[in-house]
Amino acid sequence: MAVAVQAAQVRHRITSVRTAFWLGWQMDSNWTDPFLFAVYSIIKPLSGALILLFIYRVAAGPAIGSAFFSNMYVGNAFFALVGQMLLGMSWVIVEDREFFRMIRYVYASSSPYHLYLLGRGLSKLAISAVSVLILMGFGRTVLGLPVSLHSVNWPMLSSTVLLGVLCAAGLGYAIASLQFFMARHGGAASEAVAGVLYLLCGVLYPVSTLPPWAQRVSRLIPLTYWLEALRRSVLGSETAAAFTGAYAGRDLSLMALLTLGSVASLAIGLLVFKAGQAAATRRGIIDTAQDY
Amino acid sequence: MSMLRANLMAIWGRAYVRIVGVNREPSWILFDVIFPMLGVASYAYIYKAMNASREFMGFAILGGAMTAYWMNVIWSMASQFYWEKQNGNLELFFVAPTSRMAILLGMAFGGMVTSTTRAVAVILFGMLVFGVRFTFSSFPLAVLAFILTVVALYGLGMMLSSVFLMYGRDAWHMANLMQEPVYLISGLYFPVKALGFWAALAGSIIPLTLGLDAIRQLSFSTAPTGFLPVKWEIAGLSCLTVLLFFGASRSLAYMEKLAKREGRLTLKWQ
Repeated sequence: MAVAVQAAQVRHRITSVRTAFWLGWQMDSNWTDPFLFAVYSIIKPLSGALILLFIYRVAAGPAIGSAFFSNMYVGNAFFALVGQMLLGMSWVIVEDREFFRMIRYVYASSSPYHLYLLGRGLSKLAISAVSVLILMGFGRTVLGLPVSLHSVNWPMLSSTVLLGVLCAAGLGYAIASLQFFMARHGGAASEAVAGVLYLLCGVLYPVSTLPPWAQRVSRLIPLTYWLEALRRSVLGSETAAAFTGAYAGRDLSLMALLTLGSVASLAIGLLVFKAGQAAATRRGIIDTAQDY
Repeated sequence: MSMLRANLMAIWGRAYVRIVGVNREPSWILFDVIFPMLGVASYAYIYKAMNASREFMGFAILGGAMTAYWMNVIWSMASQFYWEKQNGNLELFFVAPTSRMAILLGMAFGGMVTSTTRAVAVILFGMLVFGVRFTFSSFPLAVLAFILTVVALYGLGMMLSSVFLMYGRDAWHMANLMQEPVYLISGLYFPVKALGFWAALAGSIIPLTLGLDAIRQLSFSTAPTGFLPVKWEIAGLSCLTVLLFFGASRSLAYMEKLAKREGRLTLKWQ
């Protein structure tokens, strides 16, 4: 009997996430025809990648090899997953509360609110995953990135991506908890946090470029190890070594460290979110819109 | 009350709400000033990692500072009518005995408080952390280029806002699309000349392109690159300013008429 109840609860939770995912997808994509949506989804990330290309072209000195650019390009392409997950999980609170005025209905539904946020974050993640594929294809075919289907360490890549999603979900929950207490301008919070992670985690340059204190902070963030693992799995350890300073250990210990960091990030993020949600409920501000 | 006085009051009234609103909740300082300031540093660090000359770091910092205005134009001006429509304020703006442009100017002035704070913070950060030094060849011209750029940008913002009278999320996504692609064609983080002459010329339709290039040439006298001579760029910016404000006035009138005819002016959630 107890097992049946638990199974029903799990099914209900999966349905909650799936429904939120579908809702997010519909909201993001139903405003236009699929072709225009595809163009829209491609142009933005491609422009970001081309900015890096031009920066590299104007600044690269003779000592900089193409391995530097490959690491920068891969880091930037995959980091979109983190940025979109954070945005998907936190912006939804601002959007539902201030704009669609439907947060109270979602909140009052039978779906646990944290699972609703997770589903909305995953829908953004799915869209950005397409962008990552396009960016990698562009990098391979147009920019001559040393990546091929055979050279990629697929088991390591898939487990790294999964762990990154857990870690980003934890951060997303933490930012989402703040949104309950912030006015509409809080919508920029996820982008702002993503910007800081972009700076500290060695997305575009080796962590060793940062000042020593920032390097110490960087080593406390699981996403730093996530980027290192991604580069090793996509570009190989030799090319990834061009970005020194993040972690010099072996792949297995790197993955263990990443697993620990990601699980801890998710657990802490959820705790922070639950605390924020409880405080906002107590203060009666869950659906307080601030029109200015 | 004269029309001028009414419009001036509308400008102040709309700006006041924004200034007071934002200062009632100081969290914007963290998320709109400090964190974005750190985000801009990423681009400066790329140049540092590649041992590029210090001017390039200055270029990135200056570009990052100007981003504040562009973001303000897109999200707090162009798309503001979208928010107002959803909130039910747009009807009030239309029955008010003032010009729509006065209301938009009020939004612009109100938004400039946060944008300028952010821009100044980014520049100070660049000077303190990256040792960026500005060696102005002509400070007055640099100020003129900056003012023309900002004014032209807000003209463009007004023009874009007219689109939101008619459309909903289509326009919202268009605004979203105007971030990275615009950063690219405006050469926000690298000298726009690197794009090639024709691409840079096409990008000059956005005032940020010419404005930033002129400010960079005037602020870094040893700057290695410039797209066009500064005087040409300032002349181009002046033309853009006039054209964009004229275009904004015509576009607002036209889109308002069109939106009324099609019944979309106050249509929510489209």
